[in-house]
Amino acid sequence: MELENVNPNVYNKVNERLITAEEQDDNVVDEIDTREVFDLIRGINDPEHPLSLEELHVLEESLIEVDNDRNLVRVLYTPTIPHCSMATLIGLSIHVKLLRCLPGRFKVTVEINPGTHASEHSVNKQLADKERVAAALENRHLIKVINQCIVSN
Amino acid sequence: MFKMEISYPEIFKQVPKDSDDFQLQCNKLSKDIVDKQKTILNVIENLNSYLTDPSHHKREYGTHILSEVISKLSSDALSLQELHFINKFYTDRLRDHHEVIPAVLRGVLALMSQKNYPDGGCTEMLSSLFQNVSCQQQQRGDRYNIYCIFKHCLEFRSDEIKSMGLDFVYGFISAIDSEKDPRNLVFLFGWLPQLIRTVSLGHLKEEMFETVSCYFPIDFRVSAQDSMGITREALAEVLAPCLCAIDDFASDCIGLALEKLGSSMRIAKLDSLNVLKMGCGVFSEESFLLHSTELWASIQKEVYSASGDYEIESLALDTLSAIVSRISSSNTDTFKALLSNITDTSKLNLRPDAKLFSATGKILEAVTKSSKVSAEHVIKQCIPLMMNTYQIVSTIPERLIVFQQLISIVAIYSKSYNLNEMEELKLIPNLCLQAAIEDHPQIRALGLKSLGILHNALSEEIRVNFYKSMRVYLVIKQERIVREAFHHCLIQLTSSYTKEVLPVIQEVQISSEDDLIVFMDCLVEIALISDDIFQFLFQKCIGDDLNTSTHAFSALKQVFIKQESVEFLENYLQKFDFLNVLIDWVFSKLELLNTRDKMMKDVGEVLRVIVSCHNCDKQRIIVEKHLNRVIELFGLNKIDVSVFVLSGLIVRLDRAVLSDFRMPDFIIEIATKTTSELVQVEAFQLIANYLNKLDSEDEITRILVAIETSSTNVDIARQVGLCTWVTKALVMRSHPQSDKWINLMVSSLKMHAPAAMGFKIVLDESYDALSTKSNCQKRLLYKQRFFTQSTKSINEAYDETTTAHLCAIAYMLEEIPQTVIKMQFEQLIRFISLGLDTITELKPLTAIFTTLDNLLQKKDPLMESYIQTLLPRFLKLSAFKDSMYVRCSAIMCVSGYATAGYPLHKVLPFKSDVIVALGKCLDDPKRLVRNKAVAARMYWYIMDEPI
Repeated sequence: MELENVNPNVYNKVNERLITAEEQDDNVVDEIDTREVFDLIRGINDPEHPLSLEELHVLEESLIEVDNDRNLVRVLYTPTIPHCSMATLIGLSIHVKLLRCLPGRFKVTVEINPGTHASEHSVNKQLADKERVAAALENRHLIKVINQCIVSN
Repeated sequence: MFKMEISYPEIFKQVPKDSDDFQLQCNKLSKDIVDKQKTILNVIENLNSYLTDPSHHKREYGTHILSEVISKLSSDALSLQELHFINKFYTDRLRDHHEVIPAVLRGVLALMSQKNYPDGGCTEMLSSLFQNVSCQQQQRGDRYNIYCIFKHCLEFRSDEIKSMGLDFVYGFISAIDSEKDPRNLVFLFGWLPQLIRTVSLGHLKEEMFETVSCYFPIDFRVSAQDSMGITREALAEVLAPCLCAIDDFASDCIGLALEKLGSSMRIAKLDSLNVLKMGCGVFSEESFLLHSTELWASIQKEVYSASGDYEIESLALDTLSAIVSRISSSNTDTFKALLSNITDTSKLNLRPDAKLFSATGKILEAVTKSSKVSAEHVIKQCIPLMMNTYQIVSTIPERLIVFQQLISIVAIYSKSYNLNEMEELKLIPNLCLQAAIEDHPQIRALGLKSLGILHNALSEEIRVNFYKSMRVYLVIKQERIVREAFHHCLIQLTSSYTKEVLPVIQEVQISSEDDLIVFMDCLVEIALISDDIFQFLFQKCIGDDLNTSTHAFSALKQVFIKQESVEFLENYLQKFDFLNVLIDWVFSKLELLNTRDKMMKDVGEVLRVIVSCHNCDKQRIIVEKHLNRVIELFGLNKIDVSVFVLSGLIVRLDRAVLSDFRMPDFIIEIATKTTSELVQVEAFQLIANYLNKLDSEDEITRILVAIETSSTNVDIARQVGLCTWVTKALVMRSHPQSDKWINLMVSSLKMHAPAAMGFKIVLDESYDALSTKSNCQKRLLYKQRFFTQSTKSINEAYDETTTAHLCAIAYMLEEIPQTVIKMQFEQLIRFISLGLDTITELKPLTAIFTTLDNLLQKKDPLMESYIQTLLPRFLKLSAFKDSMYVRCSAIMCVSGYATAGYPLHKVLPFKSDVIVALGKCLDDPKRLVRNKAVAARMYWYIMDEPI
């Protein structure tokens, strides 16, 4: 298969999160924050390149919102090029990873960063459709590709 | 005179060539010759029918027998005359059928090893060999024999081969040309350089070089099993000296190396650089001067494009350094042009934001290293530029990069030459001094480190200026990197200018406890550099201010621990009469010291080191001199901390010395009555040390009885503590009484739950007072015996109302070898599962988890068998409320089941339970637990999914 974006820009990774004294204190509650959600998904591999979504700036911490009170997590992602045909697959991978790694109380929304992809609306619609996501995960071939993306970190 | 001859053909007819009988017969013949029962001529005559048979098979057999017999002879068994005759015979035989040749070659090799081998024999033999035997058509072993013949001639008959002149060279080249077997090549290349240097190659030198250079670079790729122990590296290592054996090869060799350096193969580059580097020791400077431009261009390319290949980069730099060093003495225009070329190229990259800055810096360092001329050139051309850049650049990282590079170059120069000889370098120390007082810690650290590196080149003015700043560094707490850099600088300056540093140290103003701690840390670094400084520290220890003494003793302890050489310490301490002065001071202040148990512990540890430095006789004198004073003082004043002094004197004593002294009774009294926990533990350990090392059973019984008597009236915690240490001492030496004390320990579990910790203490080997370093007895497998015995007792005494028994088992699991756990796992699993169900303390639970996790990581089948027992308990504990660490450890074990690689059908039935249970952990209040749960859940998710 020919690569769509042969030479993507590669960015540096952020450093590992430092463990603070509060995190080691049993009596303090650590709320789930944007950095934690970012850490869950930043290592997801790009389906085309042996690079993580973080290194390609598909995912950025600033584009993640977490609302603990209303139990909402919203992740915006930026495909590397506006015509990227992998956008849905990347969105699906992020969605699956978050479903598996976040507590069930959260409603997870994964969308394309507005204005960064040609078929932004249709991709967003697909990702928001629970039935379609569930059906996609039944597809053995698709789940294999998604597993490859989310496991390799 | 000689025995009746028996026909050898008749004997050997029955014997196959490769049988033991054949060897036996040959041995017999050789022995007869050595014993003068026969002569070699008799043997040849007797073998005549074989040796002259028309069938080459028989001739081969006959020659083989003869060669075998000769090879078994001692080196002086044959006379000159006999050797003349046999040599002629063998020379002639080289013309024989090709199947006969291998046997002939073996014979020739054996003949040449004879002491009386005739002069001229070699020439004759080699001429015949060159003429009649085509070496490369022989088999591997026979070719090896031919090379052995050459080597032998080179080592013992070099005059003959020299006199053969070019005939030999030609024959030799023809023989070795196109050898392919790596074993033969390693052998051949091993002595080829010597041969090339011995014989004159004349017009054949190019042929010789060609023959050898065709192997360069070695490209040998055979799997480890097939390589017969020969590696590419081994071949490359022996080939390089052949290529640079003589100066005549210079031009060809440099050309070849340059050509291969340009190739894209990594090994070609490495081999070429190696050859060039080696050539610097052999080839003349003219050869290098002739190629200097190309060499610089190629090496420069390698350094600049090494991109992280450290091996190529460092070898290229070493080669550059060697070449510049080789041609430095010429001082010709070509050399100067090369240096200008190097510095001109480098100058372009000396901006800190340049991609090639670091590589350029390394090149300049390599050239500086080469010779004085080259170093001066680099400094004149580049240092002013770098100093200027350092002043101009504004960001800290850029300043750091430039400064570091600048100092690296100057440091190389200052190692061999005087910094003040060069105008360009005069400002460098000042620059370092300025950096050392800057605000930014990294610059400050670099400045201090540089002052340390250039310590020999610092002028008095600079030093005096620095001592002013040093007063601050000696007492003010700094960032870690600054502190380390200052310590480095302080060590260097103290080593070179002790007399100047000492007053600075003596005059330091201490205004707070923090200052004192920083100051003592500095003294630890330099205490042993000079007697005066050690004396200064020691005076601080035994001064009137006990607060200073506390920190000073802590420092002194660290000084002793850092210094491992016993002889050094012994001499040092004798010089100061250290021990007596110290003990006198302690006695004079004993009452004041009673509240300072932490300091006294340090004093005790210092004393331990001192005592262990002495031999048995001296130890005995020390104890005799001081022991009674300690006992008397305690009797008079009842001072608890005297136990530390006693422990310092006793703990490290040799067993033979200790047995001569009775244990003072008051130690038990201190142990059972003191209010200080430190004193109490020290007393326990001291008693244990006695019990473990004493030889006299009576004395041991006396102590044990005294302990039992005195511990009846004390609180249970002390009783348990004392019991633990006594048990440890006895168990370690496998004393008959140990079972009784183990049972006592087990029975105390019901009354006092913390007694469980004692089981860990017994098995823990980290205590100095009961270590082999303190000359304690440690029997083999004592841990296993203790574990077996105590588990048995615990099993009998187990009581459901307390978890102490289970905690005791848990603590032991942490300390005993895994093999013992595995052996007793079936009995232990009951306690482990009960422990996981009922224990609520963090430490014993963690101990169980650590043990089980280790088994999981090693994919132990036991964990597979007990998955049904263990996994549900791990899942339950993954929601353990009281401690996040228990939750983390439990999740780690759950994860371990997924990653260990157990058969899928064993673990898969638990998947849905695990996913649900870990799903709850994803909402854990602690982030660390959530992170572990996420990882574990992912492993379980993908366990049976396609990837």
